[in-house]
Amino acid sequence: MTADSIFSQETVSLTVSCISASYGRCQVLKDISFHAHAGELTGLLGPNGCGKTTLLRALCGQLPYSGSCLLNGRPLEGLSSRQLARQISYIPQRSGIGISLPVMEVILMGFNPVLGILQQPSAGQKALALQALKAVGMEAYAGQDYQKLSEGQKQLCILARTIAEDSSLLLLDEPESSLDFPHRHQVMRLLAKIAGGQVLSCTAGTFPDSGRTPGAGSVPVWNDLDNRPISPKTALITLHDPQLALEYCSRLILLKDGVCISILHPASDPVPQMEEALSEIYGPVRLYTPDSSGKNENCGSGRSSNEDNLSSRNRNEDDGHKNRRLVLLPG
Amino acid sequence: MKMYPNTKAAKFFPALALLAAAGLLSLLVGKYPLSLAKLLAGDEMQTQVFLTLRLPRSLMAVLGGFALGAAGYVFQTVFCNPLAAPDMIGVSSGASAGAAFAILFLSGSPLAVTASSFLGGLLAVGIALGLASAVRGQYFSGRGTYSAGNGTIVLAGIAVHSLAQTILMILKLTADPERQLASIEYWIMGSLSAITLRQIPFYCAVCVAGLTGIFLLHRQIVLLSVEESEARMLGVPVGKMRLLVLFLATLTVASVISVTGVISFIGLLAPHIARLLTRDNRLPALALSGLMGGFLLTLADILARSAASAELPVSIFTSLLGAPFLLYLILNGKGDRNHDG
Amino acid sequence: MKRTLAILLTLTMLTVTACGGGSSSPAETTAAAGAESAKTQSAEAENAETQSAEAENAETKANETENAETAAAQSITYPVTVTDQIGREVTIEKEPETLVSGYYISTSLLIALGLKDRLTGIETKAGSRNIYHLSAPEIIGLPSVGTAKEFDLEGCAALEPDLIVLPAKLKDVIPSLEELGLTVIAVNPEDKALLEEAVTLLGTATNTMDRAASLLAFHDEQLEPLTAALSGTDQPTVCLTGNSSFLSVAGPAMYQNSLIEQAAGVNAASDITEDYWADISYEQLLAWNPDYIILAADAEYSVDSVLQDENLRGCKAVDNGNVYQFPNAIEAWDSPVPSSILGSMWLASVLHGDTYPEDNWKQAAADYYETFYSFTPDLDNLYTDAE
Repeated sequence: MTADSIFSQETVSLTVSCISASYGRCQVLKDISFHAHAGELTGLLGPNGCGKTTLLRALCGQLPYSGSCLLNGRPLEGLSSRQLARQISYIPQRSGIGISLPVMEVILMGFNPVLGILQQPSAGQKALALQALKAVGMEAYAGQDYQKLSEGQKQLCILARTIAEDSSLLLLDEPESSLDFPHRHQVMRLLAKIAGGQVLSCTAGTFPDSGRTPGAGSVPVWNDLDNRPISPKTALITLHDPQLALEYCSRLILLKDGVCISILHPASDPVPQMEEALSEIYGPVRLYTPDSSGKNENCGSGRSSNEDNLSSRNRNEDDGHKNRRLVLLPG
Repeated sequence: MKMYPNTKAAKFFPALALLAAAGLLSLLVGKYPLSLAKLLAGDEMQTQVFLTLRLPRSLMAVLGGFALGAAGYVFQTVFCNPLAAPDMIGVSSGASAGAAFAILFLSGSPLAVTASSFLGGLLAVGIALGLASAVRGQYFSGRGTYSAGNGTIVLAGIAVHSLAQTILMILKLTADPERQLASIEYWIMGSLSAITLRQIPFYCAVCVAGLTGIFLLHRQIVLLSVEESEARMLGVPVGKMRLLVLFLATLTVASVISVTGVISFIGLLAPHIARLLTRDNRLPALALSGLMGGFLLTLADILARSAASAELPVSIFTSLLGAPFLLYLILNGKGDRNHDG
Repeated sequence: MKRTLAILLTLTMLTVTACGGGSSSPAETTAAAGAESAKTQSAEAENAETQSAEAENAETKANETENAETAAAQSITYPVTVTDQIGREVTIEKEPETLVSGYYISTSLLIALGLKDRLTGIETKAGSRNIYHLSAPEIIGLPSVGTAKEFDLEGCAALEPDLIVLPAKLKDVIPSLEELGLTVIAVNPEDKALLEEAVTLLGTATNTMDRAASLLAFHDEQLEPLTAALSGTDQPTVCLTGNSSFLSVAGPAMYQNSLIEQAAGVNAASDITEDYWADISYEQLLAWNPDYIILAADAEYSVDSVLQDENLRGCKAVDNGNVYQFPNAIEAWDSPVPSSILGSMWLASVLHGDTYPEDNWKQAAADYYETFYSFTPDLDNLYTDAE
């Protein structure tokens, strides 16, 4: 297990048990149960209308549900919306910021759950916000108008806000859907790092990765301004594109008609089993596992051993790839 | 940090200076020949005119314009709509109906008309916001209660606005065409000519209180412009906060227009001018909206009282002054967009 | 965004225009087309009645009317063709036996011409006119044909009157009425000259020229002694305030200005250029500092409210208690009615009580209402109980 191998302990942080929810008389979620682990991305896959977004909204407290949901051992149900906001960062498909604001102001919104209603962000929080912007490589845009950014840049800003928020559960609703190809991967890589706590890694080097010189996206150094404990985050993410999900998520929850039909671990599950599960959602599909060095493995033939998988993960870690490479094609 | 260019302050202080200059000028212009020498000499009549008429009128122009501009900013920000204005949820029509009611059925004295139109405006907004929160909104809030979405509020506002207009129409129909109807029309046109010291203290206090609330809540107002579920996850109690902010904004507007009658455009123009100058939507834009509103209304009132032998409706000048200024700013390319839409 | 703002600006401009329109609308409702002639009309023109170009113009147009006037005492031979006050030629086939009037001034004129028994329909809100209660209470219950704003076309047609008299404002409904075979004349008595023309027009149309001529003569009969009595007196400044507020005043271009001049007063609002009630500020009133403030007969506010307004302290009229209201128990003498000379006479007795005692106008008023309206006015109670 990927997460286990990194933190060498079981890090189940989100336990969803038997969640059901309905819009009026129409039941949209039926007895959904799963675990999600801190430090990794958990993907929610399913056809349109399967209840992905509904599940996120239920977890956000925006839709009443039955069943229970534990975050780090504490139930989410009893929390006020303000307490929920402190625990959860919600990242929509595209941010609903409709007026011109400096990018910096958008990042500072992330501190609202911990600020009093009449309170202003402190100088320390402003410094943190700037650090978060640096982490996504957008510090040059701090004073610019958020509305004038491209969709990709906007999404990076929202991720910077998420970094600033530093809440333990991230809920992302198709964060990639409005982005172009390079931005999709950039955003997913960044997300993986945020979830892994790597963006927050301090100079002392708690994690072995942090000292390395990274490849594509530079991993910024967090100056640990407020001595916050650096924690991996649980990230639940609905994805439009199963290919991205296979590439970046450690765990995939497959939903169909409001029911959880299977849970996949792209790093370790047998390819035919995954093929079968994915076919339930996307129709007949085939999974290839091209060798990372370029030579193709045949579909279904190769079951990577745990060892192979681990080495592959290590090789790709810097740019956020956690899994062996899998290519999904219509069958 | 270089992210806040100092141009905000560079625009804020000239605006403050402009408003102060306009305020001073408005103390000097009027039909009664006041002279500084006589005032200082303690001439009784001069002092009386200055203290009970000239000063209150100038004060009301500055404060009223400030309030209308700031309230316009609040509405445009909360509704994320560059055409939003305080009238949208019925405050003007409610106040007009209230004034007409007082003219027809109460004594018709200035104090009664002011009080009645203030209550009318608040009643209309109260009904609109009450309706909106009673109606099942689009989203659930954290505790399973419903909150009033923007759309619901606008719809309820439109309903109340039309209702108030209908009441106003019925009141006008029952009015005696030669006397009461003229009074109603005159009130609706809006003017600062009849403002006296006695009328305004209460309304100024209400207005200042509302403005204080708006300025204290300015960060929440910006957050309310964010799409509802996102704002909620940023810890904003969206439903309650929106009702509170809209109530504060209409409170300030009602306190102004119940004294002056309906004044158009300031609530619409001042925030646009402010945003074009500051190019964003935060506290500087709010403050500048107020300053521009105050400046526009003061200048418009100076013209209204001096351009002709008679007093002219102040709304003519607010739009005559404001619209070209706005056009100039747009054509000068000072800002490309301030709203996505 | 630019586009949005452009739309916004267009809207703004449109609304400006709308506002401009709105601001003149009260003027339209009362002064209407008469505003033009009110401007050209001066006090001299009133004294020398037919000298103004406009009056001449009207006469040449209405040649039938002119003939009728020169032969005032003669009775009219039908069919008669008249030119009404919106310039239409109307032929009246026979002496009308039934009449409908859609305007209070024409209704009042028809009563003065002794035709109240021929009325079969009148304007709405007739119950609010004191002169009807006093002189022709029976007409108050007649079918109503609507107001100048909302005319009841069908209701009017159903009465099948021989002649319909409408205000000029209702000219749009005239073609419809004519298509129904009804005879309509429009009147526009917005100032004194037009009022006299209307009197002659109605007298001709209804064959009551005798009474019309004596009605017209009343004004001049009273004006002469008034002018004589007041010549050489000091002329106090007077501010004549309107119906809605004492901060709306009559400027020199208004009909009401002639009342002040005939009563040997000077209009304090002489620098006002508007030809309708002009809005002013307290400061303006204090700066004018008039000797007298005279409220319109139909004022919404009371004399006391003016006297007690502390913002007017220091104004001569208020400090000396010289605030009065035109009597309103019978008719509003400050509006263009045939009895308006009584307004000048009343005002003269207020301004110059020592040289022109109030018996003068009381006697004239009693004569006037007994002659034309067949009732004896109660001249001790000049005001209705309105606030």
